[in-house]
Amino acid sequence: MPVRDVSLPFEHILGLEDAKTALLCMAVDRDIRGLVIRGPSGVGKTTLIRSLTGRVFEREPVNIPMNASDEQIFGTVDLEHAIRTGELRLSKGILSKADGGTVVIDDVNLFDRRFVHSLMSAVSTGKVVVERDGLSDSYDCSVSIVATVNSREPALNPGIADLFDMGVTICEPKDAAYRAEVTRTNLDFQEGLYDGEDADGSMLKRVEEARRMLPQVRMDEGLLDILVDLNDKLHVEGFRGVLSTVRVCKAITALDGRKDVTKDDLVKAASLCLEHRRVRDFKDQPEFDDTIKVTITPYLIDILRRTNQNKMMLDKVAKERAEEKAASDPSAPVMMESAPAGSGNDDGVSEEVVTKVGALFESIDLIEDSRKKFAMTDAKQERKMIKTNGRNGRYTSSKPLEKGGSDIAIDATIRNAAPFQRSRHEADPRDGLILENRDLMEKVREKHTSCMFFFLVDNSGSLIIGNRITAVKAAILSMLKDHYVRRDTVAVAVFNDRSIGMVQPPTRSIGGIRKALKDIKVGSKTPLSEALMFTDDYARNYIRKHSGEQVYVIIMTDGFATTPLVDGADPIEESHEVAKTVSHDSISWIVVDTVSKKRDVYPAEGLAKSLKAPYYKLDALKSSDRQSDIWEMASERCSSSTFMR
Amino acid sequence: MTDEMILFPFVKVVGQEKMKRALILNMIDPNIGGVLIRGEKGTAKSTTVRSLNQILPEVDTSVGCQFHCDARSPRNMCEECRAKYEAGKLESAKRRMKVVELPLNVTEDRISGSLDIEHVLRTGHKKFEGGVLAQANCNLLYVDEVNLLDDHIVDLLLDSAAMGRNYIEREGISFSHPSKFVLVGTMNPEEGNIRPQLLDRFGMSVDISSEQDVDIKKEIILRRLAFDADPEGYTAACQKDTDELRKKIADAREMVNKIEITDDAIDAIARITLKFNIEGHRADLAMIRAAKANAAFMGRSRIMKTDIEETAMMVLSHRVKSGPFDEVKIDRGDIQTCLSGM
Repeated sequence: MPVRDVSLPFEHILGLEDAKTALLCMAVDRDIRGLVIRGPSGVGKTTLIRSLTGRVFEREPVNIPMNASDEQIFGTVDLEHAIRTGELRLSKGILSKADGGTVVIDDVNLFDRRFVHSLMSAVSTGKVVVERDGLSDSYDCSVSIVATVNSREPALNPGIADLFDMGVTICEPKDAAYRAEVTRTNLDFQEGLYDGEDADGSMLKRVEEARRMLPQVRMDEGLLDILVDLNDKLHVEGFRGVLSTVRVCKAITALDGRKDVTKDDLVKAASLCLEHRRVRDFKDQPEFDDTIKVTITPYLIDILRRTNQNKMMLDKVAKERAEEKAASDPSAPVMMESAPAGSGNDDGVSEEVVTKVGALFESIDLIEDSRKKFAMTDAKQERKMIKTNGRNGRYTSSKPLEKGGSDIAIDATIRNAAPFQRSRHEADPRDGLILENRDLMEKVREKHTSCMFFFLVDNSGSLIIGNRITAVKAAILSMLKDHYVRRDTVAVAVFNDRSIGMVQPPTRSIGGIRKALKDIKVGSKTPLSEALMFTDDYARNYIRKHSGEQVYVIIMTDGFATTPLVDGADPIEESHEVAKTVSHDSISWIVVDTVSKKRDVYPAEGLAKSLKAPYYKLDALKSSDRQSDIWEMASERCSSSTFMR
Repeated sequence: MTDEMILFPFVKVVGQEKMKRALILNMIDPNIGGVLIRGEKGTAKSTTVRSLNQILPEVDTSVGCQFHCDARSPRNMCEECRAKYEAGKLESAKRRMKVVELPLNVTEDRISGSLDIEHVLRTGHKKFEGGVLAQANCNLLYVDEVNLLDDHIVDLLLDSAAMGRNYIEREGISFSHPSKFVLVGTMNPEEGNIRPQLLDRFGMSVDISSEQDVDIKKEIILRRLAFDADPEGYTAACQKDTDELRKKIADAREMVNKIEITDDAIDAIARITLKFNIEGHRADLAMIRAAKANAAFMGRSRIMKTDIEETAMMVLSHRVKSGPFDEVKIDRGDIQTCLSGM
């Protein structure tokens, strides 16, 4: 397939140095098998991959399209053979076409997790195992894989990210001159300026020389110790990271025409191989305490700098190092334990930033937490895919046709019938394929589950105190950051003495929610029981209409109910009693306590217990009051500090 | 296709100049990357897009090819046409581009193509039958309510839009064919948003709103009534205008490649995209192409500041990063400042 003809030649691509290095390393050492490139759309991820892979690997890269089925990728029954001879034989999948070359998979995060796992295991073992359609076979297939992830899409699962040797993050271009140059190059290419141009060969030559050099490259044992330490301090789990780093180190050294791995090589390699494997949690930044040997600190600093990690942390370390240097004799031996960090005199501003970012994290985690809890109760849901009954959704597999089914899987049906064609034709000499009822297979389709977030906001008088309503709105917006990515549905309802009602019926439109939130006003009394029943009714009806969806009801209240359903009953106790009766498999409740002052009792906590719902305090979520801040932080969170989610 | 329904004439659509201009620029240079039209219902979105059929230009097309490959561009041909081209045997003929519509309820196999079932059952051999993506090659692909498409369908579209090729690896077929099209999507923002990734694939976007002026509203109604009363007569009456516009577009297509791109323009555009924090390079490229097409449409032989200024909003408005709750604001003054050095 003439893939390379349509992409810009490697030599003409500007910048993207890390990604280029990573690709060249794969070309040098065929045992470096996986690279995932993450970046915003349009920065040249795909262009770069296509420009190189066809040239330095012996074979054209094979593209894995979005709509490919497992049979096609890994292999299935050889149809024509089966029809002719009645014998089952494996027909290899498109992976075999890439044998000795590269597989390219764009937007790997959008693929089914199970599929990516099977693919990666074939890549790492060099063997494709096919167990389907009555076949049990395998074939050798040595491929490497280059994948891309769009940084605006939900990120790759950490388990899958770990299977890639290297991960590169491309940032958006920040320099006008560079941008202009890229535009020029692209226009020239469109004009056909580089058409038919042969690579000058220097890059190919460099790769070939490096391949020859590779077996002679050696790595000092001291460096290996440092690497193991780094792995630990960067909170990378497992040993895949270390192994990849060693290979990449050597490839980088070989590309440079040298035989000894240096510190710089190690730093480069570690930033390529470890970054995407880090446990991404702000609390888990490397702690520069006295347990870290001075020897690895400069490595850490360099790696963090290279990977654009948390600038603040970097500055802190740099500052400590400077202090340390000033304090100690410059001629002192390097193998010294570093001095403990100066306590309590941290820069006030950066401290504040930490709190703010942390606040956003927690509020989102709130939804994540309950998703996880949900996943544990129903393992099938973990993949967030559901089988659909209709004809929409992705065709993933097939099953024998049930009575009344009509969504026939032609391919599977023919495969089923194939081995019997010879015998059937002996009985019936007509032309063509002879199908019998028992051959018929129907399609099993899957689609992403979606969720509805139902915010039930208590806007009674107690919310006025301390401007709570602003905090509540901010918290909602902050939680919706998650919604926005996944395109779930959101609804907002409020209750006070005058009314209980939907401010925003279920919608996917973000603009509408913004308007709805703006309009939330504060009332006086709190008919909590009634609100719970109303919500329960509403959510049940919603699920009836949208089967397969999950509803999260987030109640934001202080729990101080004032208006009972039954005259004379204790309103708070009654609300807890009502809470015990509302329970549905597809409805999860979350209670956010909006109480502002310290009190002896927290009725919302009791409410949460009755609902069997996780309980959070709004203050603990500590969201910023200004919406714009939240979004800035949210985007920061996506662009710089995290790689895989 | 024969017996096509008579559509309301493009030249008689009242107002909505930005939308019309964006569509025309994409016809002049299909590489701009398509248009996303955002607006409430009843703003003549669909009417305008469907009526493009009347003014779409003619292109050189390979004869007898099911993907109607572009006879001028060997890079974007199917393997069969490419082989013919290299052997110097490619026959080409003029063909009017057309609007191919992607229905909302489309299934995966209809979009990317599938096995020709009849052929398989009759002969036992596999044969590929092209889907919407095959039809869309060298045409205009119109997706109404693009925000309501199923995710997996959007993914397929993205794949093809990105590579200009449709790869089919399913149901025993392994095949690829060119699928380069001008993507035109319409959506009503009230009904939900569109995935950011798909958003960036659109070269341009325009936000339109319904006309507020009473006289204009009246004019719209009068024209529509006149058209409904006698579609043939109404269309014939403005045939001259339609032909003129079509010729103007065709001329601009010839001219657009002769327009020189100055370094000044490229630098100014880089300043603009940087100013608005646009990610990636697609916006830069779309802007320069849009400015070029605009210059060609205006009959100029070089890019002027106003070409960039007039088209910048269309390229940028959907790319400016903002929280989902913020309104997108682009300050014209900022654009002018960036252009002042040109």
